[in-house]
This record gives sequence, C-alpha cells and structure tokens, in this order.
Amino acid sequence: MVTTSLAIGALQALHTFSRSVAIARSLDEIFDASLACVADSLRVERSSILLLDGADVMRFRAWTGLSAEYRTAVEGHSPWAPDTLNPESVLVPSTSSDPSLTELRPVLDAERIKSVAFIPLTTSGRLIGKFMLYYDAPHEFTDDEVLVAEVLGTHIGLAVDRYRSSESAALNEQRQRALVDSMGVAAYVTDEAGVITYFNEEAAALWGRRPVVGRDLWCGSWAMFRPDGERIPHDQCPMAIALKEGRPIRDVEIVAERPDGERAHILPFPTPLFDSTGRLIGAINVMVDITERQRTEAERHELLKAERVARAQAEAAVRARDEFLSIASHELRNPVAGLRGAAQLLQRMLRRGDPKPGQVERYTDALVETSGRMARLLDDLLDVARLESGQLSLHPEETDVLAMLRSVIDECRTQGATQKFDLIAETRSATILADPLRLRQIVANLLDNAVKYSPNADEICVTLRRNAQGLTLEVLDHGIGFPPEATDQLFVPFGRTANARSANVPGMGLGLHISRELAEMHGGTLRASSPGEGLGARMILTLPTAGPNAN
Amino acid sequence: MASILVVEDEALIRHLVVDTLTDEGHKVIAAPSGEDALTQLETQTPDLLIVDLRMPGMSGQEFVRRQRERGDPIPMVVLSGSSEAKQVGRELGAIAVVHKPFDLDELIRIVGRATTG
Repeated sequence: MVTTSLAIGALQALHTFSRSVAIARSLDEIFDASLACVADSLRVERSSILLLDGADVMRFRAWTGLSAEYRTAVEGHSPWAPDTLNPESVLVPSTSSDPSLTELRPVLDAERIKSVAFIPLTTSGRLIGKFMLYYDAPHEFTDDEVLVAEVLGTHIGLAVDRYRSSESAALNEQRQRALVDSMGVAAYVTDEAGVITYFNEEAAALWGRRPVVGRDLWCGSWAMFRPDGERIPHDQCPMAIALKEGRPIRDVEIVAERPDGERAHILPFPTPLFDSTGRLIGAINVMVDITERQRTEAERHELLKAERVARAQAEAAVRARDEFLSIASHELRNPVAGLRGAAQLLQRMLRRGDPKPGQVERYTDALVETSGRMARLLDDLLDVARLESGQLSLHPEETDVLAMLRSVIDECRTQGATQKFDLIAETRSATILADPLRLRQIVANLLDNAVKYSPNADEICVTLRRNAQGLTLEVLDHGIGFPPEATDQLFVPFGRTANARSANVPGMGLGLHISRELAEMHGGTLRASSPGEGLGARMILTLPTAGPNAN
Repeated sequence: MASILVVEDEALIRHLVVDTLTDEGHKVIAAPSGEDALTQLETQTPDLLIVDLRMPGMSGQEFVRRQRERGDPIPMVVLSGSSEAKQVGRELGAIAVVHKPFDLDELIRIVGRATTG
C-alpha cells in the first residue's frame, strides 16, 4: 500500500518530470529532470543514471553526490547481463552483509554507501541502463518505495527511448537532405500526403520555380503533359500515383512546362518511403532531364530518315533506268526490226523484179503504221524528258472541250475503233482556259487507252460535267481493268500493269504519266479506278475553268 | 530444205521471218505464242525452232523448257532484242542468236547453217 504522502509526492514529481521531458532538447536535460524527480519522490539525496554504451558497458550519464573516484571504480558494474530480458530491481538493504558486493565493499565504504538499489531502465523489456539509489545507512525498502522507483525507471526508460528515436529521425532527415543535395540530378521529398518537404537546387532549376515547402503538393511543376501532348492533371502525376498506390513508378515520360513556357522532357523515378512497420511516411522523386537526349535522338532519327529517303530515291532512279532500258530495248527494237526487215524485203522484191502484190501492200502498210507508232513513242519520250527537266511550257487559250472531245472521238473512229462512243455532255458551256494541243493530248490518250484496253467491248462511255470549279471528264470502258492495288503504278513512267502486258496491248506505259503531269500543270487532276481485272476502268479528269494559273 | 516453226508475238516480225524463209525454199509455219506453238508441235515436228524470248504469257525460255519435257529437243535459234539474249541463248543450248534489229541476209545465212550443219 503506497502511503499517501509518498504517492502524492511521487505523482507531483512525475508530473514535473513529464513536462521537463517534453521540452528537453538533450539527453542531459532528461537526466537532470530524472534525478530531480528521484530525489523528490523517493527522498533520496544520492542517485545516478547509467546507460549501456555501444559496447554494452554501463556508463555514468548523470549523478548527484558521488565522487569521481567512486564513479571510476564502479563504472561498468551491473547486476544484470546486457541481454537480460525484463530485468528485475536489485535491492541491497545493507552493503556490508551482501555477499555479491564483497569486492566493491572498500569502495562503497569509502563513499559511505551503506545501502543501494539497482532499478533497471528498459524499453520493450530490453535493458538500456539503470538508475541507482544510494543511502548513508542500511535501508529496508518498502513495497511502496520499490513500486515508485520502478514506475520512475519505466518513465525514464521511455523518455530516453523517445528522445533517441526523435534524434534518429532528425538524423535520418538530415541524411536524406544531404543525399538529395548531393545527387547532382533534380530530386525532392514529400510527406505521406504528398506535401513537398524538401527539394534540391537542380529540381528548382528544372521546374523553373521554387515550390513552397510544407504547402505545394506532389510536384513542383504547375503544368505537366504526356509526350503526346495530353495534359496530366496535377493529382495524376507520377509522384501522386506512387503515393496513392504505394509503389514506385517507372518507365513513364512526362513533359513539364516551366512558368517561362519552356518545356522539359523528364523521366521521373518516384519511390514511396516506408518506416520499419511498413507505414507510408512519404516519397522521394528523382527527375532525369532527357530533353537534350530527346533532341539528339530526334535529330539522329531525322538524319537516318533523310539518308533512307535519299538511298531509296537513288535505288528507285537506278531501278527506273534499268526498267527503261529493258522496256525501251523491247519497245524500240521490235519496231525498228520490223521497219528494217520490211524495207529490206521490199528492196529484195524490187531488185529481183518480182513484187508479190500481197506482200508489197502488207509491208508498205507496216512501214507507215510502224514508223507512225515510233514517231508517237519518240514524242512521248521527249515529253517525259521535258516534264522531268521542267522545260515543257503551256500556251493557254479559250478552248471548247466539248468540240475537242467530238473531234478526238471522230479520230478514234477513223483509226478503226470498234466500240461505240456514248458521249453524254451535261453542260453546253464547256469552254475553259487551257493549252489546246496539250489538252487534246490528254483526251486522246484517255480515249486511245479505252479503245485499246477494251477490244471486246461494245461501247465506251464519255461524260462531260461542269461545276463551280470547272469541268470533269469521265471515260468509262468495259475492258481488262486493273487490280485496285495497281492504281498508283498506272501513273509511274513505264509503270504498265502486269495484266496490260500479258494482254499483249502495245505501249510503253508513258501516256497516263504524261497526261497526269499535264492535267496537274493545268491545275487539274487525273485519277483512275477499276473494280478489278476484267471489270473495266474509269478515268476522271478535272480541269479548272480558270486554267493553269487558277491556283 | 528444212521445216521451221517461228514463235514470235510481234506480227510484223513473224510475217517477215515467214515470208523471207519461205522465199528461200523452207517450209515455214508460225505461232504467235508459246502456247500456240506447243499445240502445233503435237501434230508435227519441224527441223528447227526460231523463238522470241520476251512474249506475253509464256516466255520463250518457258516454251523451250516445255517442248523438251514433251519430246526430243528440236534445234533452236533465238530471235530477240534483249541485251541478255546471247547469255540466255547459251543457257538454252541455242544453235545461234539473231539480234533484233537484224538483216534478212543474216537471218537467211544463220538459218541455212543451222539446217544444213
């Protein structure tokens, strides 16, 4: 049973102790408060506090009424082994009769200590030190005294422990800041709510601003974007997600916009921080500025692309030349061989004086037909060369397209076209500004193609329409057509489709190329379409009313 | 004199070769394509083939290959404007290569040698 006076004194002393510990700035202040509390509550004049040091040796940390000689002599003495769990108080009512202190008796006698108490200081049952009570005379310890002493021991142990952990927390924070400062890359730290608690100068430079520590959240940048330009809401930034989900975020690239409008490409490495119990206590984010790397990569990419394009163009030029030689040698050698052979044959017959009537007619016709074909071929080749060197010029004048169309159709008929031409003119005013010779070349090419690529068809449909921009001429045949994927090939020089070649339709594949170039020089377009092989073809020519300079 | 089959898609050239060699006393037949020539070879076996290389549909090379699959190889002269005619002719085992454009005398001479040798 605690006596009332002792209990009240002890409570008052503990209250004072607690207040002192709360404002203590060092362990010494805690020890001073502890000794004062011991003296007040247990009415002991002499007492001391010892803590186990790093080598588990009891060292004096605070004392009252003890000589230096005594302290030196007994330092290190402990009734408990350092790893004792839940050590119990050791009370010595009379030092002269206690066998465990025989060795120390001369020292105790010299210090006039006749009775001592060893009260353990523990945290979580683990021994961290002790406090001692010394008496001038033998002393019988009451249960109350022991209880008060042990309560005190517990409180002192707690105070020491709390101070140490706050000290280590402060030390951790100090280390963390030193680490962040010495990283050499932008880095910052937040608490568990995402409030920025520290950032280094590199981070401030990257953000272009200094966030307010203790207020600003998640990231020091005000404006963040994904690489594709979409804005990232502030609470969806990688740091916010790392904190929200409690996991590090990697492989995310963001673009941060500085207040001055400049943008930086950043690879952030947000990493949540946890204490030893696994509780989220904050996060650290390291930000690698990859703007320069991005720029270099983009430049390298551009260079590579340009190089690839140049090489592809060179290869295409070589291919085009090979193709030209191959086609030209076939398309030119055959008619030349025919001309030469026909001329020689006629010559032989004349020399022998034996002109066979059927053969004379066949070969003179062939001479006319073939030399005409070669003249057209030569014109086409020269046109391609002029178009490529930009030396072909237009001489536009008022041109009646409908009249021209009728004239070209008549020409096709006289040249033996077997198909019927179905001409639908949806407009009567078909006059535009165009080079009449070149326009006739385009129209003749479209109609010739329709004739020669639909040998078995009955009719060719020609439609002329007018709209606000100009004229549209459509030529529809029911011939061999072409596979839709070959559409672009039609307009490439020598780009004849496989089915045109195998159908044995003569041609070098220059006409449509020239026609499209001429149409575009007039400010118009020439397009082709076909539902597929054997299903006919549709050519659509558009021409602006205003002529070549319309655009 | 010899019997000759001319395989040539270009009508003018075909007529020229037929008329010229017929005039020389040969018995000449003609085909505008490899396919047509193979059909004709089912009923007759000429002494000599004169074959163009570049033709729509079956090429000259393909025609020669098929002809040899079906029966005894017939001596052959290549008639072509291709810059690779000489090499292709050698690979096909042609007796001679006539380059387009050609002289009629040259054609007569080469065919004469091919049919008498």
